[in-house]
Amino acid sequence: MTARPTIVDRATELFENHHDALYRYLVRLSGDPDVAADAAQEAFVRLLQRPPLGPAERAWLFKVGTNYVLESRRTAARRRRLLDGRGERTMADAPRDPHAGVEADERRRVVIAALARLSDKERVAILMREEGFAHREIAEAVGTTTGSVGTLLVRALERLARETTFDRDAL
Amino acid sequence: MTTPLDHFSDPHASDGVLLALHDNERENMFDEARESELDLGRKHVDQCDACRARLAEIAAQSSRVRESLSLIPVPSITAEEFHRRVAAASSRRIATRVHRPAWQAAAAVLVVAGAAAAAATGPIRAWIRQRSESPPAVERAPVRPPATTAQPLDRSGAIVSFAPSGAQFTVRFDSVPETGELTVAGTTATDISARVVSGAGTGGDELVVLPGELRVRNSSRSRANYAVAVPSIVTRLRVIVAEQTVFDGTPRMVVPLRPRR
Repeated sequence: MTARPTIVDRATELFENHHDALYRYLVRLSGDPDVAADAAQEAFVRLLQRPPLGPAERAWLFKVGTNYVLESRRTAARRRRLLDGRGERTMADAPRDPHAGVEADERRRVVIAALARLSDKERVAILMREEGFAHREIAEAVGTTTGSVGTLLVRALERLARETTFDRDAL
Repeated sequence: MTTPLDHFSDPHASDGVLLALHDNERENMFDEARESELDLGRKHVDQCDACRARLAEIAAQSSRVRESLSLIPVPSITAEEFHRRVAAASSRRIATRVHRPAWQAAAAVLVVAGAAAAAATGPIRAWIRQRSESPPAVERAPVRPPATTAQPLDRSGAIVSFAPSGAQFTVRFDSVPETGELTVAGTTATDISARVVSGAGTGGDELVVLPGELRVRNSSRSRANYAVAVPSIVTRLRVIVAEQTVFDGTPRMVVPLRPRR
């Protein structure tokens, strides 16, 4: 009898093939490892239960994870507005690490703040590119054309590069 | 110099084309027009100092961004943690299943504890007959949050029903029971149904629905019999008892859960 893969085999295969990249992307996108872990698990659970048609499994996982993160942020912002009348808090507003002042922490804070200032589309595009997605796939994910996504990416790269240029002597 | 890149009388390659060249997008093309645009862009850049300088600038920005992003710490998650999280997510989902119809196919955890001290006469066959001859009127088990203490359900035995996640389905028993058997039959219903038909409570039997799998949390003291009805979409069934596969094939049979001596 030929052994076919079980659900556990499949989950293991998915974990090995996609988890690191997806989780890294989601941590950067959300700025919150817990939200990222929830988003990743949501994407994998959905994939196990209702596999998408076609070969674009990786892009599908990223899309589900992205939607989860963006929706979580919207929900959190709504909750904050209801509770204290404040608007959406960005990742840059997060409390500073107690060891702030240490160079690495400061740089990290600057990067997270710069990422948070990008639009959702720019952030998704930049981070998907970092994970090796083709411009065509990024364009599909952010709802634009392949021709336009390059311009979007360059604009976001310029901004992020400018805002994360560290003066090594100053830090 | 004017090239076909130039839609608006700009003689130079656009930033988008330069980034595509930098990212080797030529290798990812399935679009002849885009391929041709990039080919022309490459030729233009080879001859244009301004575009080469701009390409170098974009490359430097790209490199700086990559370096900056690497500063964001990413905690590690082990495979074990991943499996635990996926299982936990499945269990949370069942709690909202009633309110979220789109998740009906979701795997979930349903605890059926202390069911049916006795399920009347010829329980397995009667139930199978009922399921396969005049199916659905599916009797769904009450849905409860998994974290609550298991409480006895309907004394006559509750049916757990759930949508299959594919052509393969596994029934996994934690332990080799003292005695007992699993009867599997087909049904014209669309859901898989499962039930402890007799002897429940003798070994802490709980039916736990996971993605593609029904897990039976039993003990070596169990004397329970089980029945599972599967729709035609399920073409392969595996029965695993205490980590040993005791059956793997077409889902129509009776499987003794304790090896015959």
